Amino acid sequence: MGLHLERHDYYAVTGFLVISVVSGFLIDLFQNSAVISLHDITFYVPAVALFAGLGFIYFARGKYGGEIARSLEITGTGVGLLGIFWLLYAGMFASGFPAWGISPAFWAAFLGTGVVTTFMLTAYGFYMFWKLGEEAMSGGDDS
Amino acid sequence: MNMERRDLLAAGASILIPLLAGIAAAGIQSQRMVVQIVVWGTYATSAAIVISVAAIYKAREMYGGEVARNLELIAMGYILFIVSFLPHTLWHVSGLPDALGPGWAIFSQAWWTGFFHIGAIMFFMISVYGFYKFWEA
Repeated sequence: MGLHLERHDYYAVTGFLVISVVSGFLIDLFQNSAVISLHDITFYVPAVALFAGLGFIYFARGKYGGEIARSLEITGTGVGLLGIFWLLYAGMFASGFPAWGISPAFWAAFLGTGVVTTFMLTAYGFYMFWKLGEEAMSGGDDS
Repeated sequence: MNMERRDLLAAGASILIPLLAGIAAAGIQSQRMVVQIVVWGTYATSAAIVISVAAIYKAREMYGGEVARNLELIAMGYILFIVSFLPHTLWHVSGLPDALGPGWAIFSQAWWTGFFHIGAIMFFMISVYGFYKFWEA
């Protein structure tokens, strides 16, 4: 399908995938003691990656302006909010569906839906990438 | 800021809708129902990611070059994440089981812990690498 990726992009993607699989076997080697602590720590790390993404988007938008900057900002808002929801969502799993002063159902519905809507916000950003790009291609006519 | 009014409204809705969903569900007592809510959320998340990937697929034709490359990296991270997210959640709610079944015994609870958890980090990092390229390019 004619991807625009370069050779080292494929290395990076494959590398990340290999690290995931190898991690499985490494953790398996160290077994029980490592499992519990790794399980708890790694819950929260994806959020760190997401906040890093938010940082890059913040810097990148200044380089483009216009429709690309707008699309990036929407996606970035989604990524940042997802990071916040992810921290709480992971915390909920790590503590086994706690009530946290309200009720377990409140947090399950709030955080579960939050992960969905923030991913939807990034989807909206990508959709704007498409729509605004299409408008720019067709000479930027009205609407 | 290049965002327009309706973009900010969409961002506001992405916080307001979960809050309303939480309030609507707050009275539910059954633990099984709570788990079910999370599983539904995972299906809906998968749908949201499919929409993203479809939009990226269309958008890349409009731009080409560096922008298309960055978007493709983001989409690759998303695709890998979606493939792992649903089994990951089902694995959690079924009590972190050991294996896929007899014959798959090498995939212990420990293996899945490492794979799903490191995987979630790595797959986000692929998307983050795409965002990084937007800045660095």
